[in-house]
Amino acid sequence: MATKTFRTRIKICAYLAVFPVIPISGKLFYLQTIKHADLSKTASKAVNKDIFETGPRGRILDSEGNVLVESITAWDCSILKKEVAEPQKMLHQLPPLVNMPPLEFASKYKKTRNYLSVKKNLDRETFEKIEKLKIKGISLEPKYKRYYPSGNIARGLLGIAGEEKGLTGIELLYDRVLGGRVNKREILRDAKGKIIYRNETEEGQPLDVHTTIDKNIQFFAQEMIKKYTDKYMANLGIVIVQAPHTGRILAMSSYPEDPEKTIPVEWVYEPGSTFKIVTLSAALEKGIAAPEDKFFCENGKWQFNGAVAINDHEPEQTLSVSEIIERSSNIGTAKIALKLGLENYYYYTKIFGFGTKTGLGFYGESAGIQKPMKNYRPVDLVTGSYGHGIGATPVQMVNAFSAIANGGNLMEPIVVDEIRNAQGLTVFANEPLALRRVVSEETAALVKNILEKAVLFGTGKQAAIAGYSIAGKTGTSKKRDSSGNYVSKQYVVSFCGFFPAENPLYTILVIMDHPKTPQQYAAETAVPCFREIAKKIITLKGIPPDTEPATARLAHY
Amino acid sequence: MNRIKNFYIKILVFTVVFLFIFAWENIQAVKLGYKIEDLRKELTDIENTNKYLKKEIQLTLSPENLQEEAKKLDMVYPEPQSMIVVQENKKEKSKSCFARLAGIFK
Repeated sequence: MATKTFRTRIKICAYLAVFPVIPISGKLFYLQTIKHADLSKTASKAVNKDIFETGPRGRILDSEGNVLVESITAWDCSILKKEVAEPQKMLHQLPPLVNMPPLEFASKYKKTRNYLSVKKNLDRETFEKIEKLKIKGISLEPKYKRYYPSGNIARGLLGIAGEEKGLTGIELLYDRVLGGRVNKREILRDAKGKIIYRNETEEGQPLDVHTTIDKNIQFFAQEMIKKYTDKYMANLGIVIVQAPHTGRILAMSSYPEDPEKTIPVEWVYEPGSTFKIVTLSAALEKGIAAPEDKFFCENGKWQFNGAVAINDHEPEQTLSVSEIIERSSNIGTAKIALKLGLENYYYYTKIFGFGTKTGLGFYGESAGIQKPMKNYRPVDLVTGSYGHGIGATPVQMVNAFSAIANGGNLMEPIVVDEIRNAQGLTVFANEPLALRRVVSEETAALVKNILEKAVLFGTGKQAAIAGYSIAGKTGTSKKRDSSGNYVSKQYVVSFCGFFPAENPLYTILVIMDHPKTPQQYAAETAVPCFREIAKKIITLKGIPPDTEPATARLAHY
Repeated sequence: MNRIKNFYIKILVFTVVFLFIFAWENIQAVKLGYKIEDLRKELTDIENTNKYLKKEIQLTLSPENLQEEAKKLDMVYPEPQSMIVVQENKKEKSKSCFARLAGIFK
């Protein structure tokens, strides 16, 4: 009996012990299987952490794949005074590594309460040396900085970028493309704070911008504009080299260079006689004048409407249209414009791209200055015909010459060829785009021929290179003061030309703002600079001669 | 009775083995997590070193630097007239091709 009672008691105890296990097992089953996905997600959120790391900005390259700008890691060195274990060792060993006088460093360190920023943008070598010191309390924070491996090439065009944002130039224009991609990672930290990798959720890769810039042409253009701007003590020098058939900008620079501004697209000037190609093209295209038509040039002085005096730099008698351009006669050009009429003149200035932005898209790009046609007075047509009273940007001017050079198509100027991803695959390609036909091929050929003569016999003689056909036009315009009045003996000089004239590969524009030497005209200042750049390009690209010896060619005319 | 006992023992062994594998797997995952993080740092470091070395090469090959070096060697930039352009003579090339063919069938 007693045994039975005892067994019964044991059974009851066993049941009592097992009973709670059943609902617990049930609940565990529910949590581990049915609710598993939801719960592990919640747990992951509570334990794991998402961290976001911004990668380096994309690179900017030239047309041949040379890196012009890229991001590299630099280190900011700072000290947390309260954590420094060996202050004497640090005060003795750190200053020479960061190029700081030990006494100055010691005094700064003494005055600091806790945080002291020692030096920013340290390179790898210095970083490694400081790390080898193994002094507790020295912090080396990595960060990205922009670096220019090809040297000081096209800085004004490339612009500048802050740590994460482009501020000017291509850096700003293509900021969304170049901007460092954000990597998202899931991590876990141990008790000591050390990171344990869990998962990479999003990985961003930077994109590269491939520009149309030719590193070597850019270098020579920069060198020459610097040399000649200094030589003639000009306030500013600008040079642009463009491929006329595609509109690609091969070089673009200003001196003194300002990385905060893209001067060749922002700066507005009165183009002077280089603008005569617009009047000439319009007159030839409309059939209002032919190259051999004669105009009386009033012996170099003409009172238009009896009020406004128009002067030529040389007294000229009767000249043909071709000679008017060769000798850069303002009076002759004005008479052509009067025959052309305001409507035609205005139409052609517009279709050549003046008074409108070129489409390059740079922030701060100017459209130039051109008043509405209804505000034009007869004198505005006369002065405008030789490039006065109208404001153009250097890019507009070089693009207009390229239109003549390529046979009459106004191309959209481009500075970016392609955008590629990290694997080198093209994600965007900028195809050359002809905006419109401005003149027929026949007219373009006639203008080209007249511009070639301007180099052989006219004001652009200095641009001639033996064995090569060069076409171009000089321009000298008076500067205006702040109240808009012309200032005597202060000029903006320029020369725009292309070569080889038969099938042009390069259009070059050189501008100098107010040369202060006795040589103040374009023929003496901008033209030699053009010639130097053209010569460098010829040898650099191995362009074969395309004309007979100079004497034979002169005889041909 | 023995069969039941064996069954329980088997379940126990299976549970222990299962728990052991589970724990081992977790420990390995953490270990790999540390390793991956270290490797990431190493990779970034190597990439940085690589970039710095490339930077040195590009700097040496920059036009500014090349010009300086050329000047030191008294080199001058050639004039267009001193350039000799060698052009492939396609006519002669085709002739020689025919000549070669003729040679084969002689």
